Amino acid sequence: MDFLIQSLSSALNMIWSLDPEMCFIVYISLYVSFFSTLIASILGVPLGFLIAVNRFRGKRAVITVLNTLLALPTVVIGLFAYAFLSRRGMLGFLGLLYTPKAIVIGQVILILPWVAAFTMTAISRIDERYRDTALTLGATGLSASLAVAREARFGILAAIIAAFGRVIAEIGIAMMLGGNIKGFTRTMTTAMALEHNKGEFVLAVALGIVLLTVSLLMNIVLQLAQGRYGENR
Amino acid sequence: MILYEMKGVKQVFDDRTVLDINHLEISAGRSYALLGPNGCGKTTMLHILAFLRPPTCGVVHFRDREVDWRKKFLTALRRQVVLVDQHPIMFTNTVLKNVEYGPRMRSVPAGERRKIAEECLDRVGMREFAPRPAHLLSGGETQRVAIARALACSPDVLLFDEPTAGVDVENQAVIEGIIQDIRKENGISVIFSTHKRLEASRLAQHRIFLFEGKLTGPGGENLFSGTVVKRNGRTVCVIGGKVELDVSAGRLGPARVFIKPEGIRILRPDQEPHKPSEGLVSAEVIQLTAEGDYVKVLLDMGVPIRALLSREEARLSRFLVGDRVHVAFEDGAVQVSA
Repeated sequence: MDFLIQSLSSALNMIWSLDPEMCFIVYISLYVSFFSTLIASILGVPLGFLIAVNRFRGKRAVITVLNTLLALPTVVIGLFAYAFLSRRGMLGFLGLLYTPKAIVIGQVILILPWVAAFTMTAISRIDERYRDTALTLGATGLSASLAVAREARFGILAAIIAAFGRVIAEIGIAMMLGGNIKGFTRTMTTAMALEHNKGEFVLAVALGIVLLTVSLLMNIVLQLAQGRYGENR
Repeated sequence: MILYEMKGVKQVFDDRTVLDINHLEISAGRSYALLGPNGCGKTTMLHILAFLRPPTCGVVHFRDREVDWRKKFLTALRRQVVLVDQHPIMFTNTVLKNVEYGPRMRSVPAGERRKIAEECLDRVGMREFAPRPAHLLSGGETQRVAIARALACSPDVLLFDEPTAGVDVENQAVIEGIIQDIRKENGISVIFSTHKRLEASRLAQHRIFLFEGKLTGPGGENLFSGTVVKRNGRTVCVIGGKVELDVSAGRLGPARVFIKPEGIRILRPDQEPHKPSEGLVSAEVIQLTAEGDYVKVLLDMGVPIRALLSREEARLSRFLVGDRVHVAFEDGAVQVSA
């Protein structure tokens, strides 16, 4: 018990003193998570929207594949992406392996199905009359789609935040594609795993607290966004 | 001027024909009521007139030009016609922003569209609701804001899908007043669906009757789905599983039955039929309504049926609402078609 209290106290001190090593690890984690979420959102939100609003042959198959991809293990993605990005792989000439960019690529593959699937669900739940209303009021097809997306904004935002939460907490891709290089690709989760292996718990606990705080903040942002209209719906 | 012309228009959903219009013309600057029972194709027709759904087949002309249903041509057409839904849906925004939506889609500058929106809200008596969240309004208030939102688009044609359905009496009167004013003051063509005949009489200059997706011509009343069967040597049409009417021999099986309101005779229980063979059906008088030179009698004989009597006939028959009567049908009054 003393050991835990001592680790927690030292971890809080580390956070309070803004330890440079810890700060850089947090920065790398936020950097890769932000860009992977951004890219996955740019691709996934329109993809989910198109699947939701269009009727096409094989739609059920596409949805099934998308839902299956939600359960894709991070180590499997890490392994496949490694095969492509390693020096002997098809994209080896780009020299991306063991860089933050490699982690971003892997994480985009991980959360793209999440963003697309949850956006699709959010759009599907929106009453079809919103689109008809926008069209009859003179909206173009694109404007009507934006009006529908606006109505589904909380669902889409929740999808993006869930995706961010997934990437900031994942370890397989960051470890296999980033290599856990100190001061370059070391993220909060890979650092925590390493510290645990070393038997050094202070940094691991400090990073754990930061990780939980980030998750808490993301949820507060979502609640605030929903606040104005969400309470009354 | 002809506003709409529909030729051979059919709408088929899942192999079921929900609308089948042979030929229909609608004039500009007039008001039309689309009448018919639930599921007769009124909403489907309004969606076609609003250019929201292309028909499965057939041709629609709008202002003498054939409608091209390709997406790129539809926005320009839709900007001349606005449909107000039966249960209008409000964007999760303020009432003012909702009413501003149409002008915004037409790239009207912010100041001007605010002015337009406020004027339109004023017109429906909802100005003070402008800053409120639109999705929290009551049914009647929502309907009024939806009308303001449609008016803000300055359309040439306004379509209403059952504008007073599910609305309290007070809002009903307000909405009817607004619809009347729109046509008189702005010369906007108004087409609305309803199953309330009195509302149609009050608000519309013309009435279009639909039954099972087809135009039924003037009258449009007393239309039923039935089954023609042989029973005890007679050919009868069974309506609603309750009422059996003698019909002249025809094809057995499902049929559409039309009973001419003016071919129905109402007899007091003590009165004898003109012909001993004449089949009588027992019924109860539900409603008596003056309609021009006639009196319309709504009867319940297991299914609701309307009879049309001259004022003199009505005066002599001396029956009142709630009386039990016998109903007889003149030759040719009951028409059966496949």
